[in-house]
Amino acid sequence: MKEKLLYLNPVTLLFLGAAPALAASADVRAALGMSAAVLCVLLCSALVLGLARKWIPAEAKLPAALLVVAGFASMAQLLLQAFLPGAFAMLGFYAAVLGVDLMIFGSAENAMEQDLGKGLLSALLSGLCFAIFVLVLAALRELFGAASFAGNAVEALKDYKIPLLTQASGGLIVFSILLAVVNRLFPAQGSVGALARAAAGLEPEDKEA
Amino acid sequence: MKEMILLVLGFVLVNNYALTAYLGLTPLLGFSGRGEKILVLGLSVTGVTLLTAVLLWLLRAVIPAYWQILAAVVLVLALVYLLQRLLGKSLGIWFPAIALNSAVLGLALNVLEAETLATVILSALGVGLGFLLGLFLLSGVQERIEEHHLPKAFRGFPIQILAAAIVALALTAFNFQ
Repeated sequence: MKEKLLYLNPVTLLFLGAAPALAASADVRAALGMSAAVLCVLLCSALVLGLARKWIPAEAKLPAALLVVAGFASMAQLLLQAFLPGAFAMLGFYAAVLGVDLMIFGSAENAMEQDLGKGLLSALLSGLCFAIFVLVLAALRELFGAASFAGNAVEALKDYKIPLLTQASGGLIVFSILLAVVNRLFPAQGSVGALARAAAGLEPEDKEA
Repeated sequence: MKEMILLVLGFVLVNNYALTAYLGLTPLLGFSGRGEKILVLGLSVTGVTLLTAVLLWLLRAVIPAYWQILAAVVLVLALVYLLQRLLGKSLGIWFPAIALNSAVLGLALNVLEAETLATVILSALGVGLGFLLGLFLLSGVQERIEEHHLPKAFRGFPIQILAAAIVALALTAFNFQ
């Protein structure tokens, strides 16, 4: 059943979405806000591109996907600012940079190649996969780095803080260990769109250029 | 003059966008080219970052705040197409690596509040050169990784991110505070 549902390989997916995942993972509240934003942008862009896919010529796919994703990212940023100002203050302009996020772009590209239902289901699963991963990452970083959970201090861990975890490099270390766990649990299957892979430099070198 | 050099160096070493702010991290880690290709990609990213940031800064009075992201994305896309025309050949796999690089968009949005054009130009240069430095450092690390045997779970992406973490840790040495 799992093979049929998961169109995307979670390890590749999370690698492509590394920037927003890491940026939002210093605090559990920020992680929740970011997960909600990512899920909305994923679903909305999959819906629009899935409906419009018949009218988009092959050479216009990249600009079309980029514009739709960027448009929804702008909306997500404004909604976040209006309804979750706390999370928005922590995320800063990372919410805006979702407009060129490779994970969302890959999913949008997928939506243009499948029929609507499959595209939406795939977007939903990608979003949930991202949300679970980011929440675990944020919980670990906040608990052991800052000895707090969603802003509430955890007394028991107060004397055992690892300040490195709140910094950029500490975040990368926790991210890579968690990604190794995911890699072990879900061995490679499925793939993301060719353009998103190319954007991440994952295509073989001599194919073009 | 001194402040100008410090501003560029700050973005290259201390606040390297990819390694300390995660912007453009994925293209940086995924890129597997060597030598000359690194230079071409790094300099293209620098050029596009510079032009996008300057144009968006100049147009900031005309564009309403809620259109900024979309305007920046359109600008980047147009510049990459223009670059393709100028070079007279398809950028191939580099086209999305520049157009979908969050360092380019991130900087353009970040310097909108800057006061002088010089600040914008120097920040953009710093971010582009920082990306180039990151590409050089990580391609060296990548070569070393390939020689060694790794646990199965870490093969592929996880070890690349761990390597980036260690390079990022090295860069924190430049942060004297």
